[in-house]
Amino acid sequence: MEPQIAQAPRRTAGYWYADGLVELGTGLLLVLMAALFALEGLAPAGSLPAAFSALWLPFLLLGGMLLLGLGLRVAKRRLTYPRTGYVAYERTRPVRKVLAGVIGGLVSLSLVLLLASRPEWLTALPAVQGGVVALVWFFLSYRIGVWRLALVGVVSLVAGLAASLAGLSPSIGTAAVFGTTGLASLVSGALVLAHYLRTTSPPAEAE
Amino acid sequence: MAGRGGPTAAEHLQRILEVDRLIHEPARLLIVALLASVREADFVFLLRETGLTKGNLSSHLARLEQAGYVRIDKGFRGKIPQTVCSLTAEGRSAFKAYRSQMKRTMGGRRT
Repeated sequence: MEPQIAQAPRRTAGYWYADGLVELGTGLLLVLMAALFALEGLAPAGSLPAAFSALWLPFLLLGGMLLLGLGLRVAKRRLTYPRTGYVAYERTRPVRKVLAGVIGGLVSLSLVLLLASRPEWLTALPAVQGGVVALVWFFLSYRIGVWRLALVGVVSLVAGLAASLAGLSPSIGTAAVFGTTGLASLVSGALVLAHYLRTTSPPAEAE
Repeated sequence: MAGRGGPTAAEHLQRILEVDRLIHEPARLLIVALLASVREADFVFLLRETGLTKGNLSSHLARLEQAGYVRIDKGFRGKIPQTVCSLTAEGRSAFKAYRSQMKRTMGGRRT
């Protein structure tokens, strides 16, 4: 019972990922981002897609995250809660959200400034992106003890290194990193969801 | 006599006796620990995570509710009955106090 008690916070946090829905949603968002970057990279210079794809990214990110949150709540209400129970987590404090945004913004800004001063380092961009995305997956995996998430991080790291070594353009390299990570997340989510649905069943309705 | 500034055996025993026994019971401790890390959770989740029987879980929850540590809301989700549990402010502070007391008791022992 003692290890169970010590692991309680991790287990409750890990429960959010028990059905694979988060990975499916995140994977979809990453693949959409990859498509946008690929469009930017493949469109002829000066064309509308090339000019506007960067403008769409913030909207895709913000809208995608909002829709992801909404979709997850609906899907979990229909699929997960009747089978293995309902859990509501403490809301993240606004200060922490702002802090995360500021840190993310500073890291991105530093990267942009660094690359602006050293254009020859642009080929390393996918490797850096892959590393940053991998760190996020590794941290999440460690914090909640869901080790399959670390595998998605490894895929991201390898995809970034491969894209850099292949000398892909920044847009196509970024698309490769996000696309591969997104696909890995989708596959992981689909496998977990299939297993979850096979091993759990919804309760009978009350009379 | 305290050895090297640590508590005496009598003080140590006293600390153990002061532990909140309602929370100290393993099954209830697990329930409280699970509820402490979320805003609220339902009976089905607690049943799976604790591995208790329905009857056992109900009786432990009832005791925690009587003590004012847990709030229980019964309702329906569609046609399915749902019992949602959450720790009260009193329950959270009791759990916090229990944890720090256990840390002091287990960590402060000098022989």
